[in-house]
Order: sequence, then C-alpha cells, then structure tokens
Amino acid sequence: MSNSFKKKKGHVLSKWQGALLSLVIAVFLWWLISLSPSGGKVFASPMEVMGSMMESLKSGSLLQNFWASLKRIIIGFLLAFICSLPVAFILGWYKTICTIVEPWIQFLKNIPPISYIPLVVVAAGVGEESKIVVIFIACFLTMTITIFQGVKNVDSTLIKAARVLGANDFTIFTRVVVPASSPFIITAMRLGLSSALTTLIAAEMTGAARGMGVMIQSSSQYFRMDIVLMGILVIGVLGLILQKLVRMLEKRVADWQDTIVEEG
Amino acid sequence: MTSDVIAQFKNVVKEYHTKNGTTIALNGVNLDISRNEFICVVGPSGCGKSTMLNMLAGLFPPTSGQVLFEGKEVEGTSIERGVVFQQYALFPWLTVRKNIEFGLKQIRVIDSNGKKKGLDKKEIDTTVDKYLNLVQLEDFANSYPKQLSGGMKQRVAIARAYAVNPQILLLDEPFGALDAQTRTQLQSELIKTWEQEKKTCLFITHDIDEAVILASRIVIMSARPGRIKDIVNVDIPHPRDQSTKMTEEYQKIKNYVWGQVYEEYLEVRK
Repeated sequence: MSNSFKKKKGHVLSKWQGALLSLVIAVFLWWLISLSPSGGKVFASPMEVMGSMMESLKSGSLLQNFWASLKRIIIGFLLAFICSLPVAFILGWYKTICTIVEPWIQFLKNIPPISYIPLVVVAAGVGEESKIVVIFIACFLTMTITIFQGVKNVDSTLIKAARVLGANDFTIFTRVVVPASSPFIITAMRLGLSSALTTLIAAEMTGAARGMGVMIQSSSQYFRMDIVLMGILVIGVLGLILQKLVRMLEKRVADWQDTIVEEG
Repeated sequence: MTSDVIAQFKNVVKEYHTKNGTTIALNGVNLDISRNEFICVVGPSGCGKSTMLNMLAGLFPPTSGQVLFEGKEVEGTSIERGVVFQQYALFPWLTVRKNIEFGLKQIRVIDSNGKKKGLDKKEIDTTVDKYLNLVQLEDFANSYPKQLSGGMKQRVAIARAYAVNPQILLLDEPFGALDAQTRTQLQSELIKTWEQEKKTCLFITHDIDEAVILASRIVIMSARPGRIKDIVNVDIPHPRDQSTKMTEEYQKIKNYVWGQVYEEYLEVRK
C-alpha cells in the first residue's frame, strides 16, 4: 500500500470526462456481451437498440409511452409529497399521535407496494387511478418515514435556543423545525422518486394502454429484446435526470449543511 | 429582599428520574445573584451546575424550592434571560446576520394605536450592526455558520444573546469546546464587554482560571448531589486582562478555589 498516495496524486479526470469514460466502457462491455452466443440472445447490441429507438421515436410510440409513464410518476409522487409533509410533521410534533400511528407505517413500509395491486384494482379499477394509487402508496410511505426521522432528529438545543430568544411554538415550528428538516425532505424526495420508478412497471402491469412498463411487457412477449432494453435504458436515464433535478433543488434550499445527507 | 437582587435560588432541589432510579442533581441550593454581578459556578462534572442555569433560563422547573427572577417565580423561558450554549446552537440555515436578528424579530412592541407590532427593520439592522461590531464579525455578516471557526461561532452566539438586551446572561460552559488560545481571547473580549455594559452574568465553567479572571464571585459546587460548598469574592479590580493572571491576588484566589474544587474531585473518584 506504499504507493497509495501516489495513485491519488496521479492524473484526475474531470467530472464530465469521468462520466463520459464510464459511459463508453459500459457501452463497450454491453457490445461485448451482445457478441457472445449466450449473451446475444438476451442482449441486443447497442446498435440494434439505437435503431429501434429511432424507429419508435419516428412512429411516436416511444414518446407516447414515455409521457404516459412520466405523468403517472409525477402525479403519484406529487400527491404523495403533499400528503407526506403534514403527516410526517404531525407525527414528529405530537408524541401521542406518533405512538399510535408510527407502528402502522413501520408495518406497511416492509410490504412491497406491488402486493397492493389486487386491492387497488378492485378499489380503483384498471384505469389511470389505480396506477397512480400504487405509486402514491409507495412514495408516501417512504417519504413520510424519511421526513418524520428528520423532524424527530431536530437538534433539541436549537429548539431551546429559539425558545430562550422568545420564539413561540408556531415560530419554532416554522422557523426551526421545518428548515432543520429540509435536508431530510430533500432526501425523502430522492427516495420517493426512486420508489416511484421502481413501482411504475408493476403499476402498469395492472393493465394499461400505454406506458414504459406496458412497452417492455408487450415487447418481451414478441421477444423483442432490443425494445425491452431500450425501455429499461429510458427508465434509467429518466431516473438519473430526476435525481439530478432533486440535487439542484438541494443546492438551493439546503446549501447551509455541513454535509449532504446521502441515502443508504 | 433588596432591590439589588435580580435572581434567587431558594432551597432548590432537582431530581432526575431515569430507568436506573432517581438521581439527585441539586440538593438544597440557596443563592442570591445581584444586579451587575458576574458569577462563575465551578465544580466537578455532574454537580448540577448546568442544571442551575437551565432552571433559571426556564427550560425546566425545580423539583422543589423556588427559582426567582426579579422577585417572581420563573415559569418558562423569557428574553429577559439570555442563554449561550456550549454547542453554540446557531441556526445553520441562517447567516450570521440572520442568526443575530432571530431574537429581535420575536420582540413585539405596542405602537401608538395600541396594536402589537414587530420592531422596525431599521431598528433591527442598527442593533445587529452594533453587536456584529462588538464581536468583530462585520466581515462575516453574510456567512453561514459552517464557514466559521468554533470561536467565531461562539462570538455569534454571544452577539445573538446580547442583541435582545436581556437582564441577565446565562452562559453554559460557552468556551468549553474551544482551544486554549481562542478561549483566552474570548475571555478577554467578554471581560471588556462586561466592563462596558455591566450585564449580570451567570457563567458555568469547570476551568478555574477562567472563573477567577471573569468573576466577581465564584460559587464552588460540591460533588453530586450538588450543593454550594463555598462562595468566594474575587476582589481583583477592573479593568482586568490576561496580565491580571500574574498578580499575587489572582494566584491566591486561584489556589484557594483549586483546593476546594480538588477536594470535590477526590470525592467524585471515591
């Protein structure tokens, strides 16, 4: 390990160079796998996938499926976000309510949201609502728990400091508890969005006319692995973009932090 | 009671109930704090010195006995009693200026129409500027706490406590987490401020040097359960500075206090 310092001192790639290199290597590996006889059955080559992407872009089917999915994610996520904020703050602020409700949430969060699908379909039918409901459940539980942790962990010295400076309960809540929890709110958004994406395919399996999940599901029946792969890639890229947006928001609202809270 | 007394502890007992039973933190504390006094409380850890401060701040009540402020029993916190915490307790999402403003923004005054309103923005700004100047942090007004050193953070906390103009300042080991150099520097600044404003201070510390250089009276606490073991008048005249530490008077008081506290340390070790 004597040369470990030297290694760190060596040429360091810029962020963009690193990302580009990483992408190139990934595509190269993918291409290698697609060349092998057994890998080729599952993995269409990068060129094939690009080809089918162009095709489905031209026909408009990709965009239709993409918007259908994105709309569900955004609506499900936003509804969940709007609901989880007050619920988490109430749980964190009122001990009695917390003792009663927290076990429910702890119980529910371990259940994969997919298992609610039959219930949701019976309750909300196979229409647009059922997909949004499933995404909502997934996001809501994750975000409530995360924000609640933040509210619970607000440094009690800060609350004392506000109190001795003459702040009443309302001011302590709005001026101390809410800003102190903001890093957790951001983390909750990040986790919520990734739950939304994870649950999306499952939600769309409850039956839908359009959506990335539908596209992947139906193409697999015709063994069009190029389209399946393309769908997976598009979902992955969407995930990256959403995370990046949250990161930008974080820079704006929680730049005061010593360290950025990372999700586990 | 003479009007000179600003705060009183009368037979104050404080017990904590934990899973392992009851701990008596304070057992019958009696103390009168006079206006314009600088009182330092020293004693071994766990002697309940911070408990005294927290009760006078109104953060929790005594188990029995009375804590009085301006002749009235303390019920809850008040801007009349400012607190400086050891962990600085700055709001990390607010700039230095906004941290100092925080207390000023909570103040409600009654205007000519008999309506409650906050202070004018101008008035707040002037006050903040004054205290930024006092702690020499004008250049850092728009910095966030994470950009400051420990000493600077504690200066902001002191400015924030001073800004609302409390009747008494309660300082809970404010320099405990700082390095020796910063600590002496902040001590000197605090002495200077006290010499100018004569603000009543209750200062908790375990550093005997710090107590002797700052205090007009030193309260020595016994080991748990905490009682007042001795009260020492520090008659060293002001202005004081670090060179005061060389004087014979200083050494005499320091040795005496040290001896008293050391007895209690031995008590704790038993």
